[in-house]
Amino acid sequence: MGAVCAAGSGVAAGSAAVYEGKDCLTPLSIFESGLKNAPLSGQIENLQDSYKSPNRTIALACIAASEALAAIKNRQGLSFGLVFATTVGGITRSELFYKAYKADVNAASRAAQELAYHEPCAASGFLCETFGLQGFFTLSTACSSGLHAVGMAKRLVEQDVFDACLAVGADALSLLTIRGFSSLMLIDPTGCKPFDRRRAGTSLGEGAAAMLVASEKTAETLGIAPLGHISGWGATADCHHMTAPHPTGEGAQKAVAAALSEAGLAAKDIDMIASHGTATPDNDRSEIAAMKAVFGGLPPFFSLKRTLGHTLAASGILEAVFAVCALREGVVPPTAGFEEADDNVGAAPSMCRKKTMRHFLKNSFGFGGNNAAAVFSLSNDAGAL
Amino acid sequence: MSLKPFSVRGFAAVVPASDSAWQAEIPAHLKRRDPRIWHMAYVAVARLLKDAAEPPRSMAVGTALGALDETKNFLDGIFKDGFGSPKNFIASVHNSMAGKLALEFKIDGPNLTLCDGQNSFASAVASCAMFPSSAFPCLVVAVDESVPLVNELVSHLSPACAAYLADSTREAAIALLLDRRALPQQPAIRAIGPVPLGSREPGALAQSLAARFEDNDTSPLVIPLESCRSFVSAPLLVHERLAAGQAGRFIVPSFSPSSKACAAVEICL
Repeated sequence: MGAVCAAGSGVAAGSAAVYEGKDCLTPLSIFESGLKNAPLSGQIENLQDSYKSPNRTIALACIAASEALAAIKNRQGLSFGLVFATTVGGITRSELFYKAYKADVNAASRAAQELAYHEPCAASGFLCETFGLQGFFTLSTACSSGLHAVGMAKRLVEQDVFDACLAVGADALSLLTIRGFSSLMLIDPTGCKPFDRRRAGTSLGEGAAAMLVASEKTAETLGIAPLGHISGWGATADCHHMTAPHPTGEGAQKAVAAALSEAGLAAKDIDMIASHGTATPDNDRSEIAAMKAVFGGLPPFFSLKRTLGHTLAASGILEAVFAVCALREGVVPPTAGFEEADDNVGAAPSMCRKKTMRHFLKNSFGFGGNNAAAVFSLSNDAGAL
Repeated sequence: MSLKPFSVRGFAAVVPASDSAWQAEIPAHLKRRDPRIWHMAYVAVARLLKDAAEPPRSMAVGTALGALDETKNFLDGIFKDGFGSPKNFIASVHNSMAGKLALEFKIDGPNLTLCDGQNSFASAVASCAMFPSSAFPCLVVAVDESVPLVNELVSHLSPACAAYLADSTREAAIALLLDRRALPQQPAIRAIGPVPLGSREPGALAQSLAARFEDNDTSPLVIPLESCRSFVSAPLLVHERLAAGQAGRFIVPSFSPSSKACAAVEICL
């Protein structure tokens, strides 16, 4: 697994911040947002890019992919694929170019170089070239993308399309997303407070995460011990509203049920929920309503949005990476930003605690009513992180 | 790996360049609010599902740029007035179109949007193999539109982009209804998702992908890569073959200059 985010570069650094419930949000400074007050964001201030990446999203993806592949010494004769998930693709560079072009039409002469990596699939091509991957899919289902990428990678391996498949989710902070979420009044200027009575919106972040998905047989050939098992994946659509979640989370319930069914597990088998937990009033209420419908009494749950920011297409896989670490360590992470329970939500996230666990559920929900759920389990022969 | 085909239960298209009537089919409640590319997708799907015996349970949408014009409109608002419209922002998100189609046609199963440039259609067809059997029939939509800003910049873009923009069929919406079961007398389709060029030329890679569909006795007609330049060339060529109904096996390759990768779709009639 690999990760880079506001909580640090590398899975170990990020996990430490997650277990601690650290608040890693800082006033946005990596670009001028044009907003009256710089919103608290999960930004990476000194991004170290040794890949000469053509844009920030690709730089983040390369850092995460590199860490996930670091343990592989020899993969000769094995085919490695990629499922890459992004929401913004190359917009960080395109929006700067467009601003310059609006100011001066002569900037058009730079269009070929500035827009060459605009398309989301340009990042996939770059990752394949950099890491020697043999095929790919580029997925963009907004905030649920990263978790769907994990599910797709699982299928591609199960169906022998690839011997191993790298799932990567990456999104850089951009003017488009900061101003877009702001226009929808979905950003809490004081920083997000998941599931809290005072919650007033989310906080955006940037980052990337990667998981190398392989069968046990391939893992053995590669000489690596599995860190966890992807037991089930569920995908549904709400068919309710373009941005608001279904009040009782019907689509989310069905996605969770599908993931549990594929995993061959019952709700009572789930030891922990790594929630989507964006901290918008509607989303948190809807997610808990859906989880109550599935689970009855909820297992311990947490949100990492105050620790990492909402990293959009990266969020599902990034938070799953840290939840896999938590599962292995037997730690239910705390929810930074949460202080006061909300009667309208009717459930409070867990305080940090130790617990023997075997399976956890990860939820991710996106614009357009797109729902992803996945169940992760401990492997019997789990390796060291 | 064996590439299992899907049965094609139905197909429809909107090609604005040769179809002046399509806009009359946009329902009033969508007409004012939604972007043009969503309208194209909506009408193609409505035409497909008008006589469908069974509604789709899942969806895979392939689009290179999505509603790029909405991104431009949102940024215009910020740069000009200091405020971007939330309507433009929502529409700018690549998968909003798929969410809208799910909402309008009540398709509550898996819903994926694949953004692989010229290979988006192949990606969408190939991704259906990842859905459970309960998610079929599956709706596949390939859609892209001509974007004025991109046309404005054409002379400054790379030769490959300029070639794409010279293509007269650069915008269309194509909708297919696929089934996992092999249905007698129904056309069959299968696809190989994007494969990076590496050290190969696009034409050579396209030929090698065509050879991967080898588990079939009939010799295929492989469409030259030069005929498949635009974002929607591949799905349009598949739609043409389906509409012609002429028996045969056809392989339609595609190449994305942005990702430097080829993909291929096979259709058997």
